[in-house]
Amino acid sequence: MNWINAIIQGVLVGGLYAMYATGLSVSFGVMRLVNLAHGDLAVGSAFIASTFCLATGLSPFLAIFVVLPLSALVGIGLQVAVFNRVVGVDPSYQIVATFGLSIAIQNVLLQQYAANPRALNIGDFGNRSLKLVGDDVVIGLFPLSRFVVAVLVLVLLSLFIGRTRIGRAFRATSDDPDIARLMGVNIRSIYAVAFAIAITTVALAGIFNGMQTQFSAADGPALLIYAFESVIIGGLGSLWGTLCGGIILGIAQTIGAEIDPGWKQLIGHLVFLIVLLVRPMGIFGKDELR
Amino acid sequence: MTSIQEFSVSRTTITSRICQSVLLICVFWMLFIASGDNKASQGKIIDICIFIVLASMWNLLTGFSGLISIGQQAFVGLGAYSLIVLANGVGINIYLAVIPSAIIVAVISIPLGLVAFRLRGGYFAIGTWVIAEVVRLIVKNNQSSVIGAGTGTSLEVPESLKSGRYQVTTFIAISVVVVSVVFVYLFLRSRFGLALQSVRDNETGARSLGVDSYRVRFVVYIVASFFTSLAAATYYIKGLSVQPDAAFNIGSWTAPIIVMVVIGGIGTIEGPIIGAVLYYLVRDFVSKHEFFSDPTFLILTGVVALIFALFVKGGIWGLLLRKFPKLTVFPVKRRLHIENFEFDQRGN
Amino acid sequence: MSLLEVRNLSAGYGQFQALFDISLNLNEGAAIAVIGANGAGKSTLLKSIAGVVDVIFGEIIFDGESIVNLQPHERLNRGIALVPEGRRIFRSLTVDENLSIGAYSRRQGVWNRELVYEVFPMLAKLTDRRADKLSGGEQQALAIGRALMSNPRLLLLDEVSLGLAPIIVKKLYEILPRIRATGCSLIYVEQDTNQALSASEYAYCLLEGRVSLEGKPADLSREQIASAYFGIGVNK
Repeated sequence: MNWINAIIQGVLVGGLYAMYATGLSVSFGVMRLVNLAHGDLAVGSAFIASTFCLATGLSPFLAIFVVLPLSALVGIGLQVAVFNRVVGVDPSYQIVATFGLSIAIQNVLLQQYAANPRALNIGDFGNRSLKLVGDDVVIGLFPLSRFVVAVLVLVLLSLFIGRTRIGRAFRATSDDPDIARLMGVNIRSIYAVAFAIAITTVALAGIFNGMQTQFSAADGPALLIYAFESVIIGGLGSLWGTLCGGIILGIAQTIGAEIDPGWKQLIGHLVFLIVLLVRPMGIFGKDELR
Repeated sequence: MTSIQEFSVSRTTITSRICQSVLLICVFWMLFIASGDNKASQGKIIDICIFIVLASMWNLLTGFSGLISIGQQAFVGLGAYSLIVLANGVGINIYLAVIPSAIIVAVISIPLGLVAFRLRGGYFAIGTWVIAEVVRLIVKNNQSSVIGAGTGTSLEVPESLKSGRYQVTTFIAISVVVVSVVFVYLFLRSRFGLALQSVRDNETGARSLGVDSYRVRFVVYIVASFFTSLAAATYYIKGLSVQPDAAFNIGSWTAPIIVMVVIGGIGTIEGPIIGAVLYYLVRDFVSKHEFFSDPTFLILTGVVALIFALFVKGGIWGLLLRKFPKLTVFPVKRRLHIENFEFDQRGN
Repeated sequence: MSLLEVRNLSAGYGQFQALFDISLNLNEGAAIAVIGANGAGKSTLLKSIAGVVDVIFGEIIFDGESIVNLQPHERLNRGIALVPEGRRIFRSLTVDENLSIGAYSRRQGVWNRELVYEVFPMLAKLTDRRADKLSGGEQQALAIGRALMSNPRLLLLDEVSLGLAPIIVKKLYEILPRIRATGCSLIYVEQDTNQALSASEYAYCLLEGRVSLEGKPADLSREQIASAYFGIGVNK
């Protein structure tokens, strides 16, 4: 029965990974931007939420409503100040710039909050669970709701990209930015919106992560890697593929942990490498943003 | 129109000869220190040489081949551990084991490269990082006593070699840095180097001219892994103690390397050398005088890298070139001499 | 009434100058042809008008106003639409979505989906088909329809006949009078001179970035056109 619980846990954490991955997917799809500071932005959001909660005494769930708009603003600011300068040019500069940003953010957090891990306190909700099949199969209520939120985010994003005027502009920009400009699309605005979406989803993911596990300043890179692996396993250009990729990664990790606690990350990486070797375009890969 | 009767093509200029002579003097000065007793200075020279090699190799990958790697730490760690295996495990003399250990790493880099090359651009970069993580975790979870798993191990130095270790290591470091810089210079001057740069500039165009872009880049990847692990082996002959979390640490290795090359100038041979020396001197100065705490220094390096990548893309060398267009230390471009006139590729 | 006036235009790509001192005039409601060999600068001219190529020197006046410093999307808002060389429809969008994105600027006018489908009946049957699954002729029709959705006052057609069978080209040109009838002015750029000349009131021939010949098509002889096109007997 431990195996079944492990798999269920893996599926649920996969939803979280998919949330991390969404931002990476959208910003790469629309702008061909790979932001190495992606994970650090998630951790930063968790710290800001934590500071807010400690100062006001309010629940972390309420902090979401403060942190998310804030991160959208920060995202637009970053896009204008930093990322617009590295979109469309030699990707080396993009990587170097976002790498520098990542180091700076990690160390700012380290400076401010020291190396001590923190957690967001959601009280009893974190301990409640559903019991199925007698007492053998247990599903945590919090991981379940986190998974539901992740799916909801993906549904909303999917509808946005598929059905709205701006969503169409996203896809057109992804296909051919030069011609999109000729259609009257203001590319800079589109990029700003895309990045705002990326940063708010990753902020939400970071906050949810902080509700269940402890987080610290140096956690960012690991989250970036999980996001990246989810995207590659699931396939570029497919949001639902990213969910599947996250789930597969999550299951690989939890099964790995069942075999040996030290193998959790390693098994995840190996599954990623296998998919990369055998099916490099990912399980549901296409070459566009959808 | 004047007719051209006599012309010749050359690469060296007076400026480059002067600059190369200056470098040669530096090398002799380092050798002089290497033969002395000042361990502190020797240690500094070893470190600078290692960083110049690491920076040059990262630059070769990213600046000249378009392979943006943030996973070079994989080869640092692999270099350290293959040295340990050969020296501690098989019993080869620690100095003689340096080159074979690098060859082993070069061979290991082949399957790693096959995986990494499935990806491109920014995703290739993260892929190299994941590969480094995989290697780190495998080493960490390894049960063999030679490798020592998570707690790490130390290079065993026999009694007879203990006294001259710093001196010999300095000589090795100097040799490695000279060989690698000369190698990069000759490599880029060769047909292979030309093919490489054509792929970087316009891959479709290069392929339509028959350049096998995949093979060209793969060779560079293997070469970079070789020299990176040579530098790593040198570092650990000096430092002796190896732990997986330190040897494979992206923050200890790749972060400084990237900052060095960005500050110095991506895509030039001179850039990484300038950047490495500058970075080392600044870091040395800062840590001695305790101006900043460690995190503050790192924040600054991150911000500096960011600013250079956005606004000073050519690095310091690029700025110098703008002031002194004829400045060159390692000339790769050809010049045309017609009778008494000289033109370079920019038509000056 | 002059709709578009290009005065002494020099333009190019970075260090490469493609146009030298080009002057051109288009009256409202008219159609003009720009012909010339490959590399003569025809496409560059249209792209400069649309705003995707940098102007080194000179002036572009649209409806009495200088537009040289306007971004492409700002020019579209004023009514200049480009049908780009090579079709360049959005591959991952359907036919219908391509038309919708053409209307992104929300400019008002006669053109809407229904009218586009009426003028291009071949597209009406393919509304939900992904654009990259269309044939060359269908893609060209879609590219034109997409540009029309912005209700342009000036439509720039860049080599619409390229790579298409003559019968399809003929069909496309048959539709153009309908477009003109809605008040849209046209500039055709073509390598194939016959179609372009027969559909326009005035023509310019470009050679190596300069105007080598201009006039009413009826007044230009075959020999004149040939020598202006190929540069035979022209002093450089």
